[in-house]
Amino acid sequence: MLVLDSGDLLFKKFIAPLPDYELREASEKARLIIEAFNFIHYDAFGIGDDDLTLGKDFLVDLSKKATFPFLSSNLYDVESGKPLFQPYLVKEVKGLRIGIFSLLSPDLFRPDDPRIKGLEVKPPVEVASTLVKELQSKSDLIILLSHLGYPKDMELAQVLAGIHIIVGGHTGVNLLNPPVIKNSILLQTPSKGMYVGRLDLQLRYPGSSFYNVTTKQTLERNLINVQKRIASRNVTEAEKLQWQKTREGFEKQLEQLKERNEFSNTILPLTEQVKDHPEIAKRVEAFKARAIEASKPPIPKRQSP
Amino acid sequence: MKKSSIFILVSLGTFLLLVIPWATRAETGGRSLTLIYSNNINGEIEPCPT
Repeated sequence: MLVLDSGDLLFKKFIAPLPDYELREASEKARLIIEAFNFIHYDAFGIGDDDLTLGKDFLVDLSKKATFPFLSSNLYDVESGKPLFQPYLVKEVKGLRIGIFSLLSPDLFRPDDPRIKGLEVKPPVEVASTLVKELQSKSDLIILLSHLGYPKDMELAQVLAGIHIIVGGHTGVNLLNPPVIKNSILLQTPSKGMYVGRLDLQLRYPGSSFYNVTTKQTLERNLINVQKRIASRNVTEAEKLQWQKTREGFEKQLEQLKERNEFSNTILPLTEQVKDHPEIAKRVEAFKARAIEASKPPIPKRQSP
Repeated sequence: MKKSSIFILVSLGTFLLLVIPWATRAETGGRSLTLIYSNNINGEIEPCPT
């Protein structure tokens, strides 16, 4: 089991640098989120543009409080010339070696954007090409935590083979039925934490593509209905011929799914019916109490008569 | 910070901690992987409209 986040986790959507009076609450909230993610046992977090709102030094300090790695494969520190965070992770889950890396789009920043002061975002496709080659020798499955945006995730899957799963971010689109482009499954959930995604993957044919179990179920249902139509007494010979052609089409599509790997995907809504986790709730209450205290106006000093 | 914002963060924690043991059991049948994923939480979390 893996638990991953593909970025824009810590702060609101960036419009402008935060005013001084919001800095303290924003940084405390970011620490609280990381503490909650530690409890949840996240395995990795890919950096998004909005995670850089308080700059690189804050994010590096925050990463030291996490029990999971912050990943970014193409975000470099200009001064050292090295990646700001770990560029990839290889994690073994029940004998399956999983390579995880993360990309950020340079197009999400204006040239004078204060969030990338002292940082360079290297071209993602070039970085991905090099890393995929490296990870192929070290892992059985490659996952990209992408902060390129959904259209660029689709483009990347078209031009670069070898990434099995792209967990997307930034766009926040609901991919309940994830597209499979070439051999890559594209995932993403709607924004603001209202949902969490769950993918279940059966790996029977290494190197083969994937199909959604609902696609297979739909084809099987259609096939049964068509066979009933063909067997019906109320169809003409001409109609029967049409139904037989339709049946052949469904059978061909089902045949194509053989020797591919099956997956199912669910987007789970986090409604108010989901019960609170007591340890996280305790920390949240403490944070709220501090926030209320900080928002109180100062008590004026009594003047002596 | 809005109460609703905090609520879902806590709920996400509970949900995942409940789902992890169940998903681990589901993996024993063969070479399989369960992946739980999130994106765009953006600090301020809204409850899911029911």
